[in-house]
Amino acid sequence: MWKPDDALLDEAADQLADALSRVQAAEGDKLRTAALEALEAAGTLVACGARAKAEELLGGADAIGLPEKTRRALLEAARAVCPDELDDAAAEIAELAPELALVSEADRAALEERVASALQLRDSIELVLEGARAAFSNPALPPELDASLESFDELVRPEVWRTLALGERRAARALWMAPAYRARFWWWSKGCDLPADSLDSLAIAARVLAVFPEARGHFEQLIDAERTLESGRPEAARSSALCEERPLAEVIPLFARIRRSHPQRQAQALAAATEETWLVAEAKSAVVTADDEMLYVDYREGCAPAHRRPPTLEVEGQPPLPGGKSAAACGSFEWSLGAPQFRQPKARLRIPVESGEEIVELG
Amino acid sequence: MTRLRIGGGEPVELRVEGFISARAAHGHLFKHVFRLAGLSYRELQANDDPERWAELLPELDHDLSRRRDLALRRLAEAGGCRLCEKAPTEDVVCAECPDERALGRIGHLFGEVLDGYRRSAASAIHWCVENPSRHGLRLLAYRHDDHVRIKALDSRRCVAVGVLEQDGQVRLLSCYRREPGRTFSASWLDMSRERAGHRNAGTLVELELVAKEHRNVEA
Repeated sequence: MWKPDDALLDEAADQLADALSRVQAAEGDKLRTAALEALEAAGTLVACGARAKAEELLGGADAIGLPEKTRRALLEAARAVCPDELDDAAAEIAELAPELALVSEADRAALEERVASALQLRDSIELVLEGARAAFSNPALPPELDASLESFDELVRPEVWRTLALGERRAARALWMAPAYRARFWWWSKGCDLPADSLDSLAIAARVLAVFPEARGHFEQLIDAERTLESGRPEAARSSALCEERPLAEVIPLFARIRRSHPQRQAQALAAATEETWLVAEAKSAVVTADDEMLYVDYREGCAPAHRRPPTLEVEGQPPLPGGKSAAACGSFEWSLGAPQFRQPKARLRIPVESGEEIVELG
Repeated sequence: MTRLRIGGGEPVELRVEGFISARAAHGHLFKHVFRLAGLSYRELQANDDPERWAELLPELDHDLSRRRDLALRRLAEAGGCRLCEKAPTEDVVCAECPDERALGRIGHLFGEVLDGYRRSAASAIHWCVENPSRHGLRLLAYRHDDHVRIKALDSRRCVAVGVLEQDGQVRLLSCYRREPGRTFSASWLDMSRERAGHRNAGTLVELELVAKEHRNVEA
């Protein structure tokens, strides 16, 4: 469970207060610098989930409680936030990122530092803009600003996968902020749970496919499964909901939820099919388990009804799907996760027992 | 003597003993101090030193083009350095330098500046120990690739990054100065975000000061 870092909240609040006081006294470049610092600190608070604190320090709605000079300086700084160096930073990332995979470990560390440092410039701009949105209901940011950011993003986006070598540093750059904000900082957050040596695994996969072209179908299945899981990850869904207002329940098919409920799902996917199953739900009369292919209901000892009517899987708008008898054990029923019912976000299992039935909600 | 506990371990003496390799030292010196590598077209045209190293290293010429010319002449004297042909847009030439003897000659010819550069990095690390924030030491330490990385930012906007060994030795990876338009407090907030992220990611390494030396810190 994510929670904001107390030390960071204190530092950001202190900096916001300090920078606002400097804005009031400064002129020229110093005025602009102090205004940008104030907005970046405000953006940091907002991204930590402390919008109310940021708004309070900024003098309330539309920064109405701040002196006019300060308000004007904040607005002007936000409207001219994109420094010329942003293009250089993008070019540097595009140039250095491919080198990350080529140089030795000792030299890579120094390159990583430069790539990370160039990406931080983009962080600052995003936070300044967030701060401006906290300060003003309509900061009326100029269209050229979007063009500059798009130009950076277009150059950097195709290279971000190469920065996987930064490993935990990418995660750290995303995890200070509340989950809902991370998608905006895609240069850090995209794939930030992947390990630093992921690209080595890509090379191994390439070798497997070169030696065994027959494995391509399986490999593509794994990619499809990963895509489905990725779209169902709560963090990704929350982040995309910011932009697209898509409710979580609509984007996660039940089979993806079931597969994701395996704690070591990823390791298993890489190791291909195994016979391992994992617990999905528990009822009084039965346990519900799954593997990558099937969902199973196994009656507890002495709970199977005498009439042997099979449990059924129900989803809205479709006929009930009875479980097939498992060859593996008596009192055990199974469904293929490939059945259309598992493409819905929710389902209900009706498990007959001697005195009636027990219901297990899935999804 | 500055003694620290790294991740709750036994106290060790914090020592900054130089760069992780001669290649790394040269690469960063020529990139950051002499501006001989990895410059953009705009930087070349501007003939401006955005890191203002002459403020910290008195032996440097304040005029960047003169500083660059002098460095290139010395590199030509040393022989075997590809930067002479490739500067200033070539980037990882030092990281890939195959010539150990050239590295040695260049290390000797630029010894004074290299020492000053290393001292600046060491000074940044010690400044962070001696000027804690109200939330603790200003040094950021985190686990990365089975090592502990350390990052320091001092009031002169000097950033030192290195590998912190369990025995307290720091092997430097990079040393650079933040852009002059960015104040120490803004850069510090950036470090605080990084620290908070490492804490949430579980990769933060706690550093605890056990004993502090009394020294004259430059920053």
